[in-house]
Amino acid sequence: MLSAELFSIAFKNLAHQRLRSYLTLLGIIIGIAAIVALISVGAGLQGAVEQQFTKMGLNTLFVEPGSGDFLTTAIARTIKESDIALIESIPGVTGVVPFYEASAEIVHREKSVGALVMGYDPKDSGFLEESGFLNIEEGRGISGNDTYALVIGRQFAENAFDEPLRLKEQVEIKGKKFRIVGLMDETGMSLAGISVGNMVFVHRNVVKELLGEKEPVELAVKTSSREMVAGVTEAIKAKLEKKHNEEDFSVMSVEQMLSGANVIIGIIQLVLIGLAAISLLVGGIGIMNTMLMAVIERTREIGVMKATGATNSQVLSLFVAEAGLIGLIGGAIGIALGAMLSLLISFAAGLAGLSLQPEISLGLVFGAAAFSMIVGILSGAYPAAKAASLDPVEALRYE
Amino acid sequence: MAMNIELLKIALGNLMHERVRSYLTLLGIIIGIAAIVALMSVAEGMNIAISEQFEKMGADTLIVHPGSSFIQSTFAKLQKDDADKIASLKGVESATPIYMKVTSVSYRDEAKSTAVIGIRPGSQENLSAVGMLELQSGRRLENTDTYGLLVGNNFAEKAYEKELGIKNRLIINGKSFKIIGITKPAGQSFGAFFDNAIIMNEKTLKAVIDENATPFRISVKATSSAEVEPLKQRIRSALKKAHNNEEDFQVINAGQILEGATSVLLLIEIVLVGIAAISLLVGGIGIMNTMLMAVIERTREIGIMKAIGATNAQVLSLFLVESGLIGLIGGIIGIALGLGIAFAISIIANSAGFGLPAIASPLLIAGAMLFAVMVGIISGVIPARRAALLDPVEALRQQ
Repeated sequence: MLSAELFSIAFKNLAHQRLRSYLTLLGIIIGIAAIVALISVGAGLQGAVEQQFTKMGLNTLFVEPGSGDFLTTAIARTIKESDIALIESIPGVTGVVPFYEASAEIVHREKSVGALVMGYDPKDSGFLEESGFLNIEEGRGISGNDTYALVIGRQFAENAFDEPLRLKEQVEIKGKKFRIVGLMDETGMSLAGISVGNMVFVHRNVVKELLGEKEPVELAVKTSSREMVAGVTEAIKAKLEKKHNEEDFSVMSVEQMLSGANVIIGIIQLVLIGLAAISLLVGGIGIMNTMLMAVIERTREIGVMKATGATNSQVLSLFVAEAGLIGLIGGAIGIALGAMLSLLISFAAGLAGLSLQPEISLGLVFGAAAFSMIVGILSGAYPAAKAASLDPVEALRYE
Repeated sequence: MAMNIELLKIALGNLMHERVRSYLTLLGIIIGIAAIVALMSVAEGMNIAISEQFEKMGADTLIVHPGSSFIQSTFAKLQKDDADKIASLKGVESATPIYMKVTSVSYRDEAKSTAVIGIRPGSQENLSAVGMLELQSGRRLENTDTYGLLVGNNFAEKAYEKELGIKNRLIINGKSFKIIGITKPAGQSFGAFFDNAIIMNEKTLKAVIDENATPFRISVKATSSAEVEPLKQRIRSALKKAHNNEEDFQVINAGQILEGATSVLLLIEIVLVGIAAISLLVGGIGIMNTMLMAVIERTREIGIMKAIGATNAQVLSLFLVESGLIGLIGGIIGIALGLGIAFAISIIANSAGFGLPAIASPLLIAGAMLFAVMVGIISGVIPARRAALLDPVEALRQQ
């Protein structure tokens, strides 16, 4: 039997029991749509995170206080300003950017809100802007002769006080008046997991003098190329350990941070898709059920086919083709529905202030269609085998 | 009543007649219910474990920490005498400062940076009541223990090449300390602080590590739980006055922390159960399909029933009972399977070192059962109405 003919017979058979076929299809459609939506949103999230880290530069590494676990890194203050020159002297290092950090209350019209104050040297603003730490949307960054100038995040500006803060408005920190010179976009940083709530940027001297934190909390180290990172990491470890007499710091490359983030996203995706795949399993059981009913209903028909010369394998392929067709059609509709769902999710996330571009790749579309068809064929295998092995004499006798 | 039992018998007989089809339809519901029950049972177990931990802490405990978020709390500072100021307030039974510093700790010439926690030896009763400082071996700190240490379980096991034991000596800033106790491995939440830390007398911490140490947290016990809210206000205004009118600290009680933890857990649970519920939807579609097929097959039978006096309502209820029965049986088996999976997950997680208790609450079981029956009945509505509205003359004419 020609396979085109096979498919046209299979299709007619499905259309004959229209309602049953629709419901069976619906099961597969829902399962595939859920999986496609989750995968494409997950891929979009992964892409956004990757982009953020890549912006920081894969040739960048960070020197942090503490022994690398979350608690000691958050509490220890072991990096010294004098470490900067030492690291700069290492071959392959093209620049060291220190971060001065302190906590302070920001006061506006009698109301005060706690914030993390990040101080930087205006000469490093190029690096901070390129690497996505400082994404100025309106106004400007801190310049060389600014003292009481402040760059704040847009969400902080809108939500921290009763009335939104605007450019050029003044707030108080430690009794000094600061003018807001720039508004930045915080969403990129929250994707990279850096955002810690309320964060404002000031000139580093503010942190060092007004807020009394003389030493940098952490250092970003730029190397001349990605290949240099491993060697520079080793050199920093050796030199700093000698200077500090112990390893009271940790060195983390952007690449390591990225792969850490990817592992976490991967695990979350695996759990969610695993759960969604259960519905596809149930949909597959639905196909098996439908095909078994079809075999019983069409027992006489199978008998006639065999009596007029159809081989076992022809009967088998007819039923497998029917089941596969359910999978394929369900998959196609499910993929379209899933893609729409993921756009909807992305739209909803956009309303909540999170930019999340779903990625619907060709690989995903073809993979999902193939997977769905395989589910159909596997579910149809047992009913088809049952049909193929019917004894034609018995089958013809069936009422 | 007799009618109802008869109805059930007929329904069960009909389901048994098409045995394979009924089994497959059941399987869809079983899988969906099992997935939901397993997830909810584990989530409920975690919820209870967290609540218990906070209940231990007591409704009369308040915690003061610097800054307005966790990250900020590592930058902002409380003042040295804040604890004494709080202790003198009305309604306070005790105010215990907890200090934390990161420093280098050596054992046999191997140096490690870790968090050192300073406590008042007299406050250990309070801390262990919260489940934070329960000892696995050795004894508690006494007021006279200047150079005695309690060591966190994980630190003792993993920090150095050789596992630490009681009476081993550690060097901190040139002083020799003796280990007098090792803590029990802490549960999730809070206690995790202490697992990787070492604990010493606060006086020694100030003398050996940092004479200007300021409290990392202050744990306040109110004279009664009714005092907690007014006391919160009193602490706020007293500290604000002492901190130059800046509210650069937070006062929280156990209930607030608990709320934060459980609301995150609830959100995760909703997402996971929501995705798992998709499979139940697909299972419900399977029931609808099976029932529609049954109505078509049994058209003549329905015609006969109506011809000999069955009312529309009787035919409707027969089919609804059948689909409800699929839900009920699927629910029972699904719940059993789901709980089995939950307990298996719990055992595996425990052996991997995560405390993840599973709980089989009567409410969950009853709720899942009700839900399964509802899915069955709702899926049966359309097919049952179709059967009930058949014209008996047309139905009898069918072959």
